[in-house]
Amino acid sequence: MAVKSVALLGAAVHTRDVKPGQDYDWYVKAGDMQLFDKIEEIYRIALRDVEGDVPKLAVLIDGHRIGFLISDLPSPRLDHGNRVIHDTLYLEFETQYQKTVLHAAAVLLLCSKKIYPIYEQQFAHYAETLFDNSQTTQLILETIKLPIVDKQPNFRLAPLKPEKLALFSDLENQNRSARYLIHFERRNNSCFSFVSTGRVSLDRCQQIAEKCDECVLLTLSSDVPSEVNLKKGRFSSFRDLIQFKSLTL
Amino acid sequence: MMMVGPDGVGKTTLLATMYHELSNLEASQSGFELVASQDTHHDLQEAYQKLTTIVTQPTFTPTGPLLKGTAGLIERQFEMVFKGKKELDLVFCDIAGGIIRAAEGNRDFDEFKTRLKQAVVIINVIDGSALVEGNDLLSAKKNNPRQIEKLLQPILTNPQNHLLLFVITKCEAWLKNETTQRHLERAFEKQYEIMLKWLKHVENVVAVLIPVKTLGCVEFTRIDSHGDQQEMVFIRKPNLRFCPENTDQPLRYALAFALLQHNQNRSQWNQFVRWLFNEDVAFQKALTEFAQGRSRTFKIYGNSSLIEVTK
Repeated sequence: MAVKSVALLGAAVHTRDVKPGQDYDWYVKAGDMQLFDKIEEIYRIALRDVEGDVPKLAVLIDGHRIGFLISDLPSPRLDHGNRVIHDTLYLEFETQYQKTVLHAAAVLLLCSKKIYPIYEQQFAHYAETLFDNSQTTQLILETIKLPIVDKQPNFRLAPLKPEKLALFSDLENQNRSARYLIHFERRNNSCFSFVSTGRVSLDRCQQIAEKCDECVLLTLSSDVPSEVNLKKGRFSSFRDLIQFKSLTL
Repeated sequence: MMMVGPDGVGKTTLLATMYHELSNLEASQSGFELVASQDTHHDLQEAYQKLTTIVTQPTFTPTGPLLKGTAGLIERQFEMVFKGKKELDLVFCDIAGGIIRAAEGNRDFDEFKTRLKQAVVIINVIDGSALVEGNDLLSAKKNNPRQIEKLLQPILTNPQNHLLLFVITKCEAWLKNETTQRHLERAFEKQYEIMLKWLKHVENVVAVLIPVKTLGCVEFTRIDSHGDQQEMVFIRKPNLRFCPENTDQPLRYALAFALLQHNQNRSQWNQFVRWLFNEDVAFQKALTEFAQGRSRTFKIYGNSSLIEVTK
């Protein structure tokens, strides 16, 4: 599996400890993280406690930083109720590594369901290493190895346009999103976010869209039939309906 | 509607089995139907399917994991439909148990408290095995009745009527006969003595004690010690199948109470229109029928008139 080492600026791990009461929280916050508050908000809105068998990850580009979050990583630890503890790993880099980070997200979208647990395990290993050293606020990892694209997306599918989009997370839209990430070009230092998640409602997708200039969200929610433009705003459907009614009257 | 209880007592398991039992009901029986939003339906059905895999686990060995722990506050959206027409929206809040121990200023804790204030029905899920077999320290650690009491008292003293359900899970081993069931009840009343005493003096709260079998085929066997930590050990019994019992009851009590409150709090104009079209009689009749599905064997504390539904 081809990987590339990238210099890490900061990292955080959301997990739980074993004993009763030591419930899920950010147990590790280490290094220099400028995008943590924003990515935490995205995590709370669109990734925490979300069901659905799809890659659960987020990328945020803002200012001179790029953040990468991957959640729902099964750890080797069990809690007091004998349940598998799941980790969420957040990593922050300089934007000079934008291409590598976006490619890593694309790899996770393009890989098969059989291969995905191998990547999950690698990220869980980083998360557990950080958790084992959670007493220190110093970053114990200097670099992270991220996977490189070794499988091309399907170029016959319609490309995504740079705007605010929510897409139903089927294979086709995962492929289109991967292609978009591989060829992503940032415009005017804008804030961009990409989220791949399970059953997250359109209303929540809209909340994410309001936080950035451009975004692509993959969701399994039944609210999203295939593709929804989020730029129109929360009440646009209602407005459209009124306009349509007044036109027909 | 709010689920409360520390981590690992079985809140999510209870919600999934409750929903499964009640979603199987045919609308025609009373006219009422509980409809989940499509995403909620998928989530809870998926959780239920995972629970059914308990039968694939080896017998006589400690049971393995089934569901993931909850990390934050999850809202489950439902509608109560009467004769095909939406009667009211219902939101079930499931929480990460650790939230109840969090400090003021914690975002999840603050959100939890806001939701708790809005809740009409509060479901306190209790680990039955810790209640009966654990010493005071272990039981307090697993169920934390003092903390629950601290959180609920200011909420339950507001003028709104409340239904408080004490739902005991992980108690299959004590639901075999009347003697062991009474033993479970006494253990509950001892641990929750302060709250039960307090309930005697408030007019706007009724509480019901409902022991349930969420899996039906798993039983408590022993307490293992690892250093200073104690762990309740459950095993799958070979002669029992996956068979939740009484898990529809908390939801039946909760829905009947919510519908009763909803009906009592209608605007005067709405009441007049409903009287005019004879809708009020049909609704009350259906509600009475629906409420009859509640088992009357459970112990009731506080103002029992609040859950009475009359024709």
